[in-house]
Amino acid sequence: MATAANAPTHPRTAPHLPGETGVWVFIIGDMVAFAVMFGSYMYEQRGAPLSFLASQQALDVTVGTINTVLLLTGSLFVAYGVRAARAGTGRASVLFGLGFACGLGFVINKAVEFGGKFADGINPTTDTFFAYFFFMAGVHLLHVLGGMAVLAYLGRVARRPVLNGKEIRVVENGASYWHLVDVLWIVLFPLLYLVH
Amino acid sequence: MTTTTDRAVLGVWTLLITATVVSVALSDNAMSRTGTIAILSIAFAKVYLVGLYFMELRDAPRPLRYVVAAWCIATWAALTGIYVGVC
Repeated sequence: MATAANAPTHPRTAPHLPGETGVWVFIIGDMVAFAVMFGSYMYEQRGAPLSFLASQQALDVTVGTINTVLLLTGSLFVAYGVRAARAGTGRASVLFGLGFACGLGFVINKAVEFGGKFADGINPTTDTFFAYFFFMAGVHLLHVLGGMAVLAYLGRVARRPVLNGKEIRVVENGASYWHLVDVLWIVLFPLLYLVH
Repeated sequence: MTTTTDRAVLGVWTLLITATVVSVALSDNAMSRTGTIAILSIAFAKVYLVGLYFMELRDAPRPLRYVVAAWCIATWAALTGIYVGVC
């Protein structure tokens, strides 16, 4: 029989969907679309592993690693931002700004990487690997830019320390999208840079 | 609203960074099958951790958590299967 003595000290709260159903439909749909691209890439790589390896050696793993750290850290700031928005600490706006800064670092790093490749005469028509590289990383880059616009908006929404229920929902929607950007890169990075 | 503490979220971030460094260390140019499977496994474990702790799926309705878990398992299985030649 349950008694106060053996009741859990940290009871779980009722399930809570972070954001609206429509945003999650988009997130899952986008994940499925990227999964198809990942599978297609892997299939092509299996057909020409040495050609893919030779092209991958033109990439700088350090650049990809730094970008991974930037997105993971951006996600940490945004996760804290959502919590701050709910708690009304007044720090949410700053945390979303830090997440935006991580996104900006990613974009600058990616622009330098793409620019370097173009300067070396490497572009999407170079070979199959670089066709996938520029397409998948390019589509992901558009997601990052979209995510930064979302974070800039959340920074404005969260300027007031206490948010109403609707505003919290907006914050959760935007944060969930930002984490999607992180999730996609977590798979793209090893596929493009590490798996041979 | 959430059962996860700030400290747990920071702990997960530390784990994600560590897993990233391990993945890079596992990568070599020898096209090692074991190394590739390990790198892919780590990647999808990272995705699920981001889902649970950053996207707050720990506190979300179970069906959503299951959908994200199914995506991780199915995509990992497909990529690994294609890589080793069974798909």
